[in-house]
Amino acid sequence: MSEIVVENLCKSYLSKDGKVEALKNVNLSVEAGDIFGIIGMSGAGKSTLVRCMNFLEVPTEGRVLIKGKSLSDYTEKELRKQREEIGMIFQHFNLLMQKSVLENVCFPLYIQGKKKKDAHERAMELLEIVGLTDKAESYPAQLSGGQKQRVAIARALASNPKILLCDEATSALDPQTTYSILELLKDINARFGITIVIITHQMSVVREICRRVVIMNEGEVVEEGLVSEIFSHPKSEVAKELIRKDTGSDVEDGQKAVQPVIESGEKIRIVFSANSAFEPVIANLILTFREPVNILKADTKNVGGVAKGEMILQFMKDSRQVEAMKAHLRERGLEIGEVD
Amino acid sequence: MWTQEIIDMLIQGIGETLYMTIGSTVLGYAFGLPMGVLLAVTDKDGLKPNAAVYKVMDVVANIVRSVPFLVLLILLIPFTKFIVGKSYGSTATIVPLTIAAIPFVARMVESSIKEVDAGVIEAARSMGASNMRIIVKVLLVEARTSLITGSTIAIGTILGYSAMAGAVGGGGLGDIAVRYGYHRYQMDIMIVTVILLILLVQLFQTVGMYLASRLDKRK
Repeated sequence: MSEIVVENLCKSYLSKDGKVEALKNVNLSVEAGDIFGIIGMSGAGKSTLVRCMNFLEVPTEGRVLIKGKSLSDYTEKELRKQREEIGMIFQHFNLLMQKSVLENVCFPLYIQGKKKKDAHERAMELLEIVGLTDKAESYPAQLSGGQKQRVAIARALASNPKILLCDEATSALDPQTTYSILELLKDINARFGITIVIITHQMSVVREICRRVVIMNEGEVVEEGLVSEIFSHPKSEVAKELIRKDTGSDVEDGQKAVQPVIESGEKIRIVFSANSAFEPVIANLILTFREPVNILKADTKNVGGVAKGEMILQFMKDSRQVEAMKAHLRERGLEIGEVD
Repeated sequence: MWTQEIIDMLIQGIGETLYMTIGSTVLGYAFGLPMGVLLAVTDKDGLKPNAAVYKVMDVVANIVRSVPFLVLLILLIPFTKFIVGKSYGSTATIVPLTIAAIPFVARMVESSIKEVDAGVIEAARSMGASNMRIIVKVLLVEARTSLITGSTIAIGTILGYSAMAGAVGGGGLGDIAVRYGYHRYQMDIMIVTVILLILLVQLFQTVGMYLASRLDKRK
């Protein structure tokens, strides 16, 4: 049975400029234990959709079923009880700034009526899962963004939820931190079998962690399927656009997703600096040596007629011309570095 | 001028001023804090919007705040008599001071609570917190620094109002300043009382700011 089912969901608001339809007849289902992505540009309605999944926003029409039970059938009190089963983390972490890390994690435990001592014990276990036991007595203001999100994750897990909703949880973080938070979420999914729903506008996040994804545009689901399928055969314009924007540098190990065609040859990192002329260096290299090289990653920008940035190249296995090719590149003013 | 009599009078004045100010601030908060919370919670972006409740309190607060304190003091004489049994003296002055303080405090509390980050409230709701729990454990805790800062402003304002207590025989430093400086042309005594009033305001302000910054964990 599906963990979350959304049926014909519509949500409209009355604003100054009239009626705004945030969601138009959205249907989707999330399997238990899955990591499910909802991606779209800003204003696509994805944040509204995720808030309907725990009724922080009540839909205008349609149903949301959690484990087959419709949220609209619950009374206010039952709904609060149900929310304990659904953890949520946010873009801006939303921690209590005047409470210590430990007390923040204890907050949902106190709601469940836990005694202070038991709550502290449980909170320390959770801080261990997210790797922050040494920060228990600190206050959120003393933590980095990534650490704050870890506290938020510990807090969301405190009530042993079956579902974790992540609303742009990595959007305020740098690429390295994003990567480590995604690793943590994967780990939590694997260890506790929690169903994770991820809202994001970054394709790299979906690529890194999600199995299935829906793509939203202007309140509608425009495409749905396995992440691997959508990446290889995007059908909608929005999907193509999102994939085009995904440069691979959003997540630290973006290179990992590229499958090397040339087997296990030597890799080098070349850096384009100020003195590299605007010459098709790589093309000329291939023409000169009559041997293919694989570009594993390229991140260059045209700055005032000069290419700046870096590329990672891989030579053919057993190539004898590697040293000569490196020399060729150095002559053209490129710096060459090692790749680990 | 420094006769024992005058020194005793000034000491008594300080005592009366502190008694009236602190007494009415405490009572002002006893009623004003819940009223401020209710204003913030029932406003249209609040936890539980309720246009009727908000409007009634909004209008009441504005009416009381529109009446100059000296006028309120006189208007409330029958009410004061009903509450404390007499309409003159320091204790009797606490009644109109409290009535004036309640809407003022409520507005301060309302604005402090509205400063609390909506995201934190949403997070608490997502965890299944009831509105009461959100008020007590989120709103009042997160707004703590702003509430303390507000209370130092409130106490300064109430201290200023208490200077008018002389009109109903309430005593206090303000009363001494008016009687000696205005009616008897004894400028020196008036200046001393003014200096004492300045010191009191400074004291409250310094203690308030110290507490506010001491309890603020955002840095």
